[in-house]
Parts: sequence; C-alpha cells; structure tokens
Amino acid sequence: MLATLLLSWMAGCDHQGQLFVPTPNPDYPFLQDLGEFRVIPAEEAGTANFTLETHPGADDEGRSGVHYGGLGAPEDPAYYGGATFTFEGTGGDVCVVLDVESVYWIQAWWPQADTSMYLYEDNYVDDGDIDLSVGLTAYYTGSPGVSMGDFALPYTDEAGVSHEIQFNECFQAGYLGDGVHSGRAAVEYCTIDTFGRAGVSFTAVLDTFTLPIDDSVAHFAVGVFDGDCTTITSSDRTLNECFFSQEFGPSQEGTGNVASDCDDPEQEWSYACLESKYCTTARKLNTYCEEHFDDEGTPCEDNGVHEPHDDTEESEGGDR
Amino acid sequence: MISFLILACSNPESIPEGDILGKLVVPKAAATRTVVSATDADGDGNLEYSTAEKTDVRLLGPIYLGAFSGIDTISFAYPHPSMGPVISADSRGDTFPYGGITAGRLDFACYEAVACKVTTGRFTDYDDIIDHFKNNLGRPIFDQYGVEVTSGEAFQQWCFEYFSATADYEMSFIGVDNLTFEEDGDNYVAEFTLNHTLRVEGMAVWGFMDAPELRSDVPDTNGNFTTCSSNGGREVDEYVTEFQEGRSYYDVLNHPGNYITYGDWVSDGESVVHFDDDLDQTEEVVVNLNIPYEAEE
Repeated sequence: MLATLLLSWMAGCDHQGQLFVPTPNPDYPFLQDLGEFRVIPAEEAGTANFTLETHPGADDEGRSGVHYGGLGAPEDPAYYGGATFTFEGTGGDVCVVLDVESVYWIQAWWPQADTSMYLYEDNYVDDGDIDLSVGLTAYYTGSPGVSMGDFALPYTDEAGVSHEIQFNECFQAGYLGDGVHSGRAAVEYCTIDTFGRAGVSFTAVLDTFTLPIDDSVAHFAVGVFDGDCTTITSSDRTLNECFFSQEFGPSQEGTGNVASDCDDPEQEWSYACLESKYCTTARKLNTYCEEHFDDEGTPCEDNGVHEPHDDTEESEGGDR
Repeated sequence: MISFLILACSNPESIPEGDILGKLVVPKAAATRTVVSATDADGDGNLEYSTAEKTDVRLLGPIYLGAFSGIDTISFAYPHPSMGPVISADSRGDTFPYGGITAGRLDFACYEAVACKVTTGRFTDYDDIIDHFKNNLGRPIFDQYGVEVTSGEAFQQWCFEYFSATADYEMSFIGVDNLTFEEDGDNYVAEFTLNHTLRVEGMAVWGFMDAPELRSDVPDTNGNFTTCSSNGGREVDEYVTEFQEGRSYYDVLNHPGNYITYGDWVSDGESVVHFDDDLDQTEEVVVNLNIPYEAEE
C-alpha cells in the first residue's frame, strides 16, 4: 500500500508543464514595431527569391521589403505580444503575406495504405502561430511597439444601443466563411482593397498566438505585394508554406537556416533540408523516407514493416 | 392574450433582455402561386404537366423575424432593418439584430431530393409532403435509387431508418400540432415569441418570407429557398449516397438584403415595440408581411 502511494506521488510530480511556459529572449522582444513597409511591385515579386539570404530589401527611404524576424515571450505572460508595421495604400489591391515557422502536419497512418509505409515525423515543438490583421492606421487602437490593439470600434445604432465593429479588412476564408485565422505554422494572407485610399496609411498587426516550445521564439517572414493575392502566385509559386522559405530562424537544432548540401549526411536531416525536400519534391517526404530510412538519425517512422528506429537517438539530435 | 398578460408583469427587476410576444399576419396572396402538377393518368410512367393558380399554405417558405433598432426605407426597394456602417465595398452593413425567430424553419425531410426544400409547420403528414412536391412543385419525390416515393408509409419507414427514429413526433417537419398558421379571413396568422431579446423602447420588429423558387424545368433548384445553404448541414456519405442536408445561412437576419429575392414577401416595417418603466412589453406587436418584392428577376 505504502509503495503504491509513493509511486503515485512520484508520478504526480513527474510533469510540471514547465516545458510549455515560454521564456523571454532578449534578442526577440515580445512587442515590436517594424516600421514602414513598401509595396513590392509585381515585376519585382515575379522574379525575386523569397529566402532569408535573397529577398526584396528596403528602398532608399528605408521602407522594408520582405522582412524576416522573430517574436519572443514577455516577462509577464499576462501581456499579449506581437508586431505591427505600416504601408501606404496604392489605390488598388495589395496582398499581405505572413508565414510563421515552420510546417505542421497531422501525422497519422493507416497500415493498409501503401503511401504511408514511411513517414517523416512532424516536429510539433518547433511550430509557432501568429495571426494577421490589417486595417486603416486611423482605426488601430494599439500603440506600436508599446501595446497591442485591434481595429474594433464602438458603433451606436439609432436606438442608442452600442455594438462593436471590427474594421479589420484582412478577411481570410474558413469553413464557416470569413473571419478566421490559420492554425499554427500555416501561412496567412489576404487581399486589401485600397481603392480611393492611395497614400493612406494601413497598419498590419501580427498577434502572437503561440510560441514554439523549443525556443520560445516565433520566427516569421512577412511582406506586402502589389495586386490581389491570386495575381502574385504562379504555376511554381503558390501561397503556402513554400512562398517564403527559411523563415524558421537560426535555432533549428543549431544547423542554421541554410543548408549548403542536403546530400551531406551532416546536413540532410536539418530543417533547411526538410523544407527543401518539402517544397521541391512535390512534398513526397514519405518517398524520401523510403529511400533514406536506414540512414543514421532519420526522423522517419514506419508502420511496422521495417525495424523502428531508436527514439532515444532521435531525441538527442540529428533531426529538425 | 393570457400569456401576454403574464409577460407584462414578469420583469420586476427590469432585466433588459426577455421574450417579446407578437402576432404574424401573412396575406393569403403570399401563398398564391402558379403551380405545376405532375400526373401520370395512363400509368405509363410518363408524367404530364398542367399549371394552375393555387393558394396553399405549403407554398409559404420559412419566415424570419427579428427585432432591430429601426427601419431603413431608402436603401432597398422594400422596408429593410437599419444597418450599421458598410465595411467593405462588396458587402452591406450589419443590421445588428436584438433577437430573432422563425415562423417555420428549414428542415431536412429524409430524402436528398427534398434537401433545402422543406419548411417546418407546413405539412400534416408524409402524404402531405408527397402531394406538395407532385402537385405544387411538379416534381415527384424520388428516393436514392431513383424510385418515386408514392406512399406515406414508405416515406415514414425510410425516415425512421434514416434518423434511427421510432415515432412520427420525432419528425419536426410534419404533425398537425406543429402547423404554424391558422386561417383568419384573407390571412394566415400565427403567434410568435422572440426569445431572450434585448428590450429597447421603440425598436422595430421586422421580417420576411423566403418564398420557394417554382421552376419545374430546373429540378435541382425547383422548390429551393434562397436562405438555404445546400453546401451546409450534415454531410451524408453512406455507400453510394453522398450529399449534404442543407441548412439556413447563419447571417440571414444580419444581412437580410442578401437573401430577399423576387417573389418574397416583406413586412411593412411599421411594427414597433413599446415598454413601460420596468421594461415590460405594453402591448402585443403585430407584424404584417404585406409587401411583395416584385423587382425584376
């Protein structure tokens, strides 16, 4: 009986949940004002690379192009974190695109399915979630770099009853219609119609929803493009995880966010190589795992047909 | 009247939300349509069609009622609830309703062929539905195997199978006790309650009837209602059967102007609710659905 009680007590203290409490990082403030962005012309966007190393930069007036950065945790978890930036309306449509590290997929397999014999594991601790809103700067209720706000303003109807109206113009469609945000790690984007508002200042709000468990920093890439969001895509560039690449920051297992040679055994399981494989091989990560299943340190799972790999080895490094 | 008297002294704490009682009046003209009947007189399986003007309460679609801050008589060709500001160029302002209810709502009556085409409170039994589809809409009901449903018994048994039910009272789309309206001269009338509604002195109660689309030449949409989302509701995917049951759109009272189309009937916007100092409703509000929307299709 006593032994049972002791064992129960030990189990009860086994999990404190500290892992899930983000820790502040002085290099990544939880509140940031990113300044003013330029609207990247379609001709420039059509030929540009969107990687950490090569992406449209700032113009002569210091207005950012595509911005790569990261949001951290506050000292006091009671505060909301996030970032803001402004841009000027062009008089037409513009598209605001935000991609948060990294990629996330629901991992499940069905033994009868021949496509799931080898699975590239999702690393759930490296995903962040930042929600995007955009509206007229005049309607923004926050103080950039000081406190987060939104675009909600009171409206009083003719009978004297007050209602709250959201002047957020970043409408993203979901299962039940507009007004939703993507889940963690997924790209968010929306078209803003600036007709009649050329030169008028808009504010984009990046609300930190979830920080990655591994380093408490949600890295991201964000940019504003001329034209609506359907025109900035092409046959080889769609608005998904691969629109901006290498947005995951330098902390991925210490391997950096750029891989020089994904055939190098030292690098092939880095996150940079995962993204490369995800974005350039029609996302056939299971096929990749089939070819490299026996490699040391692979983050691949199988459905029992092959020898399961050593989980201990995986947790010590070598994967994303 | 008795229930109204009870309500009138039921708010000693002046709670700003509560039930609003009213009476809905729908002219029979709203249920008078040129209908198409399908008959197979010689029994050879080939249907013959005939048309006739007919007044039938089953031709009344769902009626949406709400309480609003006021009435806008300028922005639309019919009285419409007052709207808040227009946020984007391609949408109308929100009406911010204080509360709402339906007098008959969209319901799914067991067969894919009748999805988005059946309103509660209009049918006494299964045979009543079969008759409506055959002799008002000109489109007999066919089951998932393409066989015409001709008997109420077969309809009932399939409904029991579909919903795992055992009694007719579980079918909200039929029942003499569930009928919405009573005849009153040239009108159909019904009592209604706007449950848990914000009580604001002078607020308007407004509504509209979503009339069924009558086009026997377009079987898929014949009998449809504008307020029904055919891509919504429960998704059925069993063996060879794959469809969605349909449901009412979520924002019908927030943006009614998006759903009112040719043939619908709209209330005159003159129904106002008054309250005393304790926020008790002083008199029953009467809503007249007496304006046909006859703009060009």
